Amino acid sequence: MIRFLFNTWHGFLFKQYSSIGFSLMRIGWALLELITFGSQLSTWSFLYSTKGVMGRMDCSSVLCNFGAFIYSPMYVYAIYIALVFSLICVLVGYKTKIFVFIALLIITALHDRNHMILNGGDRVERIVGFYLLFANANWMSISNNLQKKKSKTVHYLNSMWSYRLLLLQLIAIYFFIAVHKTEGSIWFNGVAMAHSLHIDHFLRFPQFIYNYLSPFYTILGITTVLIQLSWGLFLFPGLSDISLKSIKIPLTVKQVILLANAFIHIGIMILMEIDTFSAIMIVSYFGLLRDNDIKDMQKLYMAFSGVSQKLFNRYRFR
Amino acid sequence: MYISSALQFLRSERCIKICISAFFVIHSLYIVVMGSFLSLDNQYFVENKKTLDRQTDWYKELVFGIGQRWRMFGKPSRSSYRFAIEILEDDTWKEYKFITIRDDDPINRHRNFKLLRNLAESNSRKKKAVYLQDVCERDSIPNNTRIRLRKYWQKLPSRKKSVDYDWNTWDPKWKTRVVKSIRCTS
Repeated sequence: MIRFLFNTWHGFLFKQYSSIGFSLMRIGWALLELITFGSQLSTWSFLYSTKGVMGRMDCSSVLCNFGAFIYSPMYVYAIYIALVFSLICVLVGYKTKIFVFIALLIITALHDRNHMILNGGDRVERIVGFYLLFANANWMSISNNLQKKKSKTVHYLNSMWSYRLLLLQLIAIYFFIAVHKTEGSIWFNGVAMAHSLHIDHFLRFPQFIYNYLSPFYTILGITTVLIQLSWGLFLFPGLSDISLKSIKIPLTVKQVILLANAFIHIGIMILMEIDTFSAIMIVSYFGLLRDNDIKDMQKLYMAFSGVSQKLFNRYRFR
Repeated sequence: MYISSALQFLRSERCIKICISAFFVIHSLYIVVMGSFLSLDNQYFVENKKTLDRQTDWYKELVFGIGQRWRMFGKPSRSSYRFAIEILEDDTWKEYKFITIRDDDPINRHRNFKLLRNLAESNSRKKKAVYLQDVCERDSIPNNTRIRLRKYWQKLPSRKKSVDYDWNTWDPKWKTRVVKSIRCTS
């Protein structure tokens, strides 16, 4: 009995699977952080140095004080260069874990230093970076190419425990948000959607465009809550892996949930100024791709490229 | 003898797996507790202005991962904000620059606007003064000119009232107050 429990636990945490999903997440994370922090160059000194809005007295935590020299604007720019360099190394997959650690340390220090600019997306960016510390994200990386040149075999494998932690974190985020949304009736009578789409500083377009959507507020609110509640299904691994081919949908339950949530985030990104949160949530979904999902993606890619090739040939020779 | 065998155990795969298992259990519990209704009030979360001046417990982050009360997304905010910079000319305050989120550059505008929103809510007079001084320097406003930051906000009707409300005609009154006033210095 103990042997059985031990084997089950061992398989649950240490079973190997393809590291392509986490590698895609690594690339997405590094790109997103590069855009977020790289674009702050013009305001960098104002946001993080004593010359700007953050004074010396604001810094009280240890990590915020890390390398107490970062007060002066000049050294703050040195931190900027170190961060961008680390993120580029993560992007190309050179010494990934070391540079993820350095980047995460700097990002946390900067966030601690100026927490007035943070939003929910920044929080998730750090969470995703935290899981990248433990995972093997070696697909599409320079380090592996170097190893291949030395004629060493490279395995693109990852242990299940980092996948399970990421999944649990995402379940916690979505499921608990959805449970809080079911308190009261505002998400079921359209009021919550109306509130969200009438907040002036979140709107990407003029208000009259959102007014055209008002007949759909109720259905959009209910759909959002239901899709977010569906993350609870991931707590039952057998259930989320069920294929829907019997009802002529070439996807598994898990893939349907991920796609539906990705559509919600893309919708939010188009309609509202909540870019970071939506983008990092979509990036984190890549970490949830396992062997069968990767195969399905490859099939989809092949089918798509086959169709596009056919179309190309058809119209090319006419 | 005992020390060498202990060291050997510490280096072994079994020891690493035991450590990972312990970390997995602690971290999972922390995620569930922090994400759920049981989350503690003294934790750092980004949307609550009361906690703006608090720092993250970085050691908790490294050991347990990052805790966040996700319930903050459960109910959408009902308040909109705009800001204006005003300059004193001939003993009257004139609007110099009106700041809405769409006036800024596309990538940084939400971050910059968030800073302004949080500064206006913050208790730190120093930070507000630094912000206004930065405006003086960026726009080359002459020395000794008095400038001030004005906040505008509107609140959408509450959920009980708004059920039968015609959403398309929602246009609550904008309220306003002066946040901070300074004299530009070179």
